[in-house]
Amino acid sequence: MATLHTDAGSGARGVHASEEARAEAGSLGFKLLLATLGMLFGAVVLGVLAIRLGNTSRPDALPPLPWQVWVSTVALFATSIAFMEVVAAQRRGSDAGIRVGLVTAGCLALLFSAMQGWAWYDWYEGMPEWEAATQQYRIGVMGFWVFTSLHVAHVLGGLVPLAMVGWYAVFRTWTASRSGLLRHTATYWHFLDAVWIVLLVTMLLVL
Amino acid sequence: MTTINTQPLDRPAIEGDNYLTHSRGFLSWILTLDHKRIGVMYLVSVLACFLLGGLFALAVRTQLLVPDGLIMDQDQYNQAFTLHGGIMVFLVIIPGIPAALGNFVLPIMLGAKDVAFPRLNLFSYWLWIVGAIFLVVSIFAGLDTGWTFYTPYSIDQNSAMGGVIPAVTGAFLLGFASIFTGMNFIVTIHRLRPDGMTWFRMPLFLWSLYATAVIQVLATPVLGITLALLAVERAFGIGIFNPALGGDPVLFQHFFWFYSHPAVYIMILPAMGVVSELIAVHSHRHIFGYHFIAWSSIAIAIFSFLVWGHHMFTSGQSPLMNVIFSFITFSVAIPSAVKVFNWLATMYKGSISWNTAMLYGMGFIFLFLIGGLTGLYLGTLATDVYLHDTYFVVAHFHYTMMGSALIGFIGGLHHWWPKITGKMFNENAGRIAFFLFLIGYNMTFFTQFMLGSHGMPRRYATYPADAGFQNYNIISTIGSYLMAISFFMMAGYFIASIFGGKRAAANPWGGRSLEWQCSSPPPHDNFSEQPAVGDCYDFSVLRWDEATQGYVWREDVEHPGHHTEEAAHA
Repeated sequence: MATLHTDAGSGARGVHASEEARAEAGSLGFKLLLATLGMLFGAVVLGVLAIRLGNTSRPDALPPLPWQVWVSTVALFATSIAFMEVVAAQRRGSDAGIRVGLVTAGCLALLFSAMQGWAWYDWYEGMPEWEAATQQYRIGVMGFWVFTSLHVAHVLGGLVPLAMVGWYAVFRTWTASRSGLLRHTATYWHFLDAVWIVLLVTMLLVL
Repeated sequence: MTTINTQPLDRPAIEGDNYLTHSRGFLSWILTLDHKRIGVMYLVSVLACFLLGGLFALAVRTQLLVPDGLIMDQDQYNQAFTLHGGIMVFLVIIPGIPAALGNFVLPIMLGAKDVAFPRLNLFSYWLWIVGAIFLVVSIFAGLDTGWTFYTPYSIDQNSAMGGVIPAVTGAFLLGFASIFTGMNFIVTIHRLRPDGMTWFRMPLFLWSLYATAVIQVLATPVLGITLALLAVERAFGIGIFNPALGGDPVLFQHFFWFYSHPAVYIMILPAMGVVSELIAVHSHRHIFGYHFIAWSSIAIAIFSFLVWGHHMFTSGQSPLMNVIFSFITFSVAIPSAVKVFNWLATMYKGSISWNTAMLYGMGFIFLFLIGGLTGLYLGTLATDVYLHDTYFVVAHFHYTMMGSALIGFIGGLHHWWPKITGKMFNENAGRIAFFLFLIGYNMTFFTQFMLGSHGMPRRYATYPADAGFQNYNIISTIGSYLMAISFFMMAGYFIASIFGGKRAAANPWGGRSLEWQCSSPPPHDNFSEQPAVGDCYDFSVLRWDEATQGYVWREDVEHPGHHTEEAAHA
């Protein structure tokens, strides 16, 4: 339980008794953020499921997902693996390992975003042809935009902490106090992986 | 039992540095990380929105004075009730207690220096302001969907109402401001409780804020994504809510009410927490059934996620689902009644001080009882079908949302006003304003039960002259004017107290929770030393002190702080 620190506690306004207490608070806040995002993505998937189950106008043949989606999927998983390596390097105390891992994760995250952008372009090009066929089941075509844009918005959001830990790792001396941010960043990217699997399966099987 | 003196206060109590004087200048406020200043900024913003929403309410009531409508055409009327609802729900009632009073009081009550994430707290406030601007902008762009943004009204691309996307964007941003506030409160309560502040020593207001925060964190994202989908449906036609594109407008209702019914509890749970404080402190009697009240807040939070379908009995959902939702809806009555009975038991044999704040606490019980009992009519399938979309629903809604949630907010404002400003307001003026409000309130909304049961539909700009509705509407409108007078009176004595009110003692009402252990207004860092945590509802240890014109610790009772120090030395 916390003790009031009226002089020099940790964090803004010194509200936390120590760095450890601050890290614990951050950790709980982060879990709540993931719960919030889980509800958000869950609602979208449930909504699309409801439309799919209640719609009798779904055409037999809907356009296949662009090939770039599969490349970006591999890139996203590789980002997660890179983060696992970074966390392992941090445990070993290997600064070089942290740097290499974070730079790799950053490059893979950018690759994911670029491939998603390319996939969007291809999907957009094909839309005039499919739209007429899917007029009574428009979510079949538009669901791709809904899922991928929602996910990529969170990927872009994840680039911010990734850039922060990357900056500290490459241009500053790595300190133990950064480990909390690193751990949370890694967990966030694993979360994005999990969400992507659910969205991808929904796009493949349900849309 | 201890005899408690409730003499009027007329002398200064505490001098010195406080959160209001700690730093000066505009920037010191808008960039502050101090939870108290952020709370005050929320308070001012919420009250400004309340004025705006209230003006729309008066416009609606004035329109209905005569059958053909007095001041607006039908399109304007649609916009007026939409904006009244949107502003009151999203900008006044939802943030009123948690964001304004909660921000101010929660860390002090807990014995903490601030919330767990002060920067996030400031960010939440400014996000809230941006959301509010978007919502208010919709006034100029046009918004006539009702505050619920129901499809297909809201996705009609041919509609001249351009305010839908700004309004839902605003509500989206407000939702995330609410989520961040909720996260901050949960983490603060979990991680910043000082030594001795166990879960079951927390004031009940904090239990209610905790339960509210859980709902904010888990239900609000659903509203956020729903409104985002609504905006893209309107802009691009994605086919999720639009039946012409294979979508389902009822799906919007499910999503909307999955959030918005819990949101009812986001509004009312904090008010219940406030009332628990008001009843105990001003009755000078230990709260009855502390554990029951605390757990009933959690039970209400859980039930709140399971009852959204009762808003949709007539939407065509399956009869089985209707029965299930109806049954669960009735179950909410149990934890609600637990609270009411415990409040009544607390007052029984209490030494009640008839302060304005206490009157609002008792007013809450009275109005909430009417609101809750009329909810049973709407939770019953057979009567709901008859009463659906009539003024009965409007009346029930206002008895719970305004008569309960808003009254809780106003009661809390009176209770903590001396703590927030360091000044006492005129109690007599407060009592007069309360009774004016109570009379005006019941004139306005009780008549609407009659209107609804006689068949007057809601959201209509005119009504037939021979339907027998006019007399009720006249009484209702006069009542709304009385309420407006009482609110202006309230603003008058609050503002007068800031400039000419008597100095408030640290503990003018005789409260035991920690906010009454620091000066009024509180210091910048809340406490200069670790506050002594004890039973926050044991008022027998306090006595009235003429010198400070407030309540102080009795000399013949050991202070828990001394005990703690001895234990630490041992």
